[in-house]
Amino acid sequence: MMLQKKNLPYMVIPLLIMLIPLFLKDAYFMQIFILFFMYVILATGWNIIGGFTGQVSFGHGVFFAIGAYSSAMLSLRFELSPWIGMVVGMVISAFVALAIGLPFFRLSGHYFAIATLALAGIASALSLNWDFIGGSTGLYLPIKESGFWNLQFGADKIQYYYIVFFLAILAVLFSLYLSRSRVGYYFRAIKENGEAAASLGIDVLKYKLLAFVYSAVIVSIGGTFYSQYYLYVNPEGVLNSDIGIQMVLMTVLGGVGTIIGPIIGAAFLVPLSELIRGYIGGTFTGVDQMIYAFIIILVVTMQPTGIIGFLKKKNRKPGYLNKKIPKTGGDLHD
Amino acid sequence: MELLFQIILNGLIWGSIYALIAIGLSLIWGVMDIVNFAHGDFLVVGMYVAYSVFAATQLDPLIAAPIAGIVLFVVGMLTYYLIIRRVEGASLLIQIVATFAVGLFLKNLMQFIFKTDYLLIKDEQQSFFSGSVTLFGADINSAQLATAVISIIVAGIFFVFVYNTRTGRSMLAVSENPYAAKLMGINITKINVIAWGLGAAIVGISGALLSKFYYIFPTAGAHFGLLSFIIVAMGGFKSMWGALVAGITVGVVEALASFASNSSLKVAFVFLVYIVVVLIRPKGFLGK
Repeated sequence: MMLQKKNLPYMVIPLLIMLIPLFLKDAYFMQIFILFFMYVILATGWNIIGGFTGQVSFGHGVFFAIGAYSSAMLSLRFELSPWIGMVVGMVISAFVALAIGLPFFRLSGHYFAIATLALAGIASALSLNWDFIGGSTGLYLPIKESGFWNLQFGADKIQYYYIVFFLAILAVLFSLYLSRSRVGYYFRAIKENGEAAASLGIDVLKYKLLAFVYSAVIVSIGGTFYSQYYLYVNPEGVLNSDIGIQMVLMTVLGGVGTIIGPIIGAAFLVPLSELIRGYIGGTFTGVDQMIYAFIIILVVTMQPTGIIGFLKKKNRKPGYLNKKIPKTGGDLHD
Repeated sequence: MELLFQIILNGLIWGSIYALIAIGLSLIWGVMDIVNFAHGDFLVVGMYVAYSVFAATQLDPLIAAPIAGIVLFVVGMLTYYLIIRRVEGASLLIQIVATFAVGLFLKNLMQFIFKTDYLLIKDEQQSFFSGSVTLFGADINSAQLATAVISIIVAGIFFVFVYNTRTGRSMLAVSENPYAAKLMGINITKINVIAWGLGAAIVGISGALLSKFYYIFPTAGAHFGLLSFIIVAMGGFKSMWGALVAGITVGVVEALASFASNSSLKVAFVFLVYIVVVLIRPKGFLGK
C-alpha cells in the first residue's frame, strides 16, 4: 500500500524539501517556507472539523491563541520549556473545545458557523482586557540560550525550518491516519448526513466533539510555534488578525476534506501573499491585497472544488488508460 | 430613570441602523442561501461614496444616500453576475471564500483610493440636523436621531416592496423554495441579480447614513459586518422581520453593556447574548 508507485511523489517531495536549506540560505525564502509549514499545520488541523466532519468553524483563531499564550505565559512566569507549554496549550485547547462544542453542536449549519465567529469576537475582546496575559500590549518572550529545549535559535532560521517542518509532517500524518481509520469514516458519514449517521448507530455528538478536539489541538501546536518564532504574542497578532479565516481560506482553496488540499492551499497562498506584499506592497498600499483577492476569485470561479480540481482533471485520463484490468469489487478490501 | 431612558433611546437609535444594515444581508442570505462576507465592505463603499459626494459638492450624506444606494446596486449586481453566479452550485465554503475575496478586494480598493486615514464629514459644514435635541429629558445627537428615523423609513419602503410587488413576492418564493419557484415560471437568475443589487443598495444607503456621524476608514466594515451576521442569525435566517427585531435588540443590549463596561467588552457582551439566544432558540427569534 505505502510502496505503490503512485505514492512515490509523497515520499520524494518531503525529502527534497528537507534538502532545500542546504542550498538556499536566503532568510526571506526561509521565512516563506517557515510560514508555509506553519499554515500547513493550521489548515490541516482545521480540515479535520471543517473538511472531514463538515462543521464550519471560524473560531479556530481561539485555539491558535491558546497555544501561543500558554507557552508564552509558562515561559515568562515559570521559565518552563515551550515544549511543555505546547503540551499544556494542547490540553487547554482540548478542554476549551469540549466546553464550546458541547453547547454549540446543538446548532446546525450556518448557526454553528456564526456562533464560532461570535466566539472569536468574545475571545478577542477578553484578551484585550485581560491584564494577566498582557492586555492589548501583549507578551514579550524572554530571550534564552539557543537550543532545542528552549525552542530558540537567535537569528538562525534553519533550526526553526526543520522543527516546524517536522511538526507539519506529524500533523499531516495524523490527519492521514485519521482519515483512513474507522473514526475518519464516522466523520465523513456525519458530514454527508448527520441523521443517517445517527440512525446507523454513530454517536454524532461524540464524534463531532472528537473532531473538534483533534482539530483544536493541532491548531494550538501552530500557535505555540508562532509565539516561539516571533517571541511576541498580542491580541492584534493572534486574535484580531484573520488567522482564523486564513486557515479556512487555504483549506478551501486547496481542496477541502482531502489530505493534500490544505497543503496545496498553503503552498499557493503563503508565497503568493508574501511575494505580492514584498514586491508591490511597499509602493502601492492596497494593491497587493487587491491582486491577492483577484487571484483567489479567479481560482474559485474557474475551479469550484479548489486547486485540487485542476490536478485531478489533468491526471484523470492517463490514470484510466493505465489501468489494464478494470477493478470490480476490489475496493471492498481497501 | 432618566439615565436609563437615555441609554435605551441611544440603543434604539443604533439598533435601527444595525437593523437596516442587517436587512440587506438577510435578503441575499434568504434568497440565495449564501453568506455574504463582503457585506461590511459594501457598507464601507457606501460610506466613501457619501464622502466623495460631500467632498465634491458639499452635499449632505442624507442627500447622498440615494446615490450610494444606486452605486451599490450596481456593485451588488456585478458581484453576482461576474462571480457568485459561477459558484452557485459549489459548496458553502467555496461561496464564502468567493464573497470574502470580493470584500478583501473592495476594502483594499478603498484603501488604495482614499488611503488609511480616518475621515469624518464635519458637522458644522453639514446642512441638516447638527447639534442635539432634548427628547423627554434625554439629550440625543440629532444627526443620529435623523439617521435612525430614515433607516426605519427605508426599511419600511423595502418591506412594502417585498410584500406588495411581483418582484418582491418572487424573491420570497425563491427564498421559500427555489425549485418550486422555478416551476412557477420565475426567472431565478433575474431574481438573484435583483436580490444582490437590492441587498447591496440597502447596505450602501446604511453606509451613507452612517457617515453622517461615524468615522470613515477602509476597515470600518469589519465590525458592522460581524454585527450583521450576528443579527441575521439571531433573528433567524431568511426572516427579514427577524433581522429588524434582532437589530434593535442588539442596539439596546449594546447600549446597556456600554453603560456597564468599556467599549471593547460591550462587543463581547453582545456576542454572548447572541450565543445565549441561539442556544435557547437554535433557529433564532423568527427562524423556521
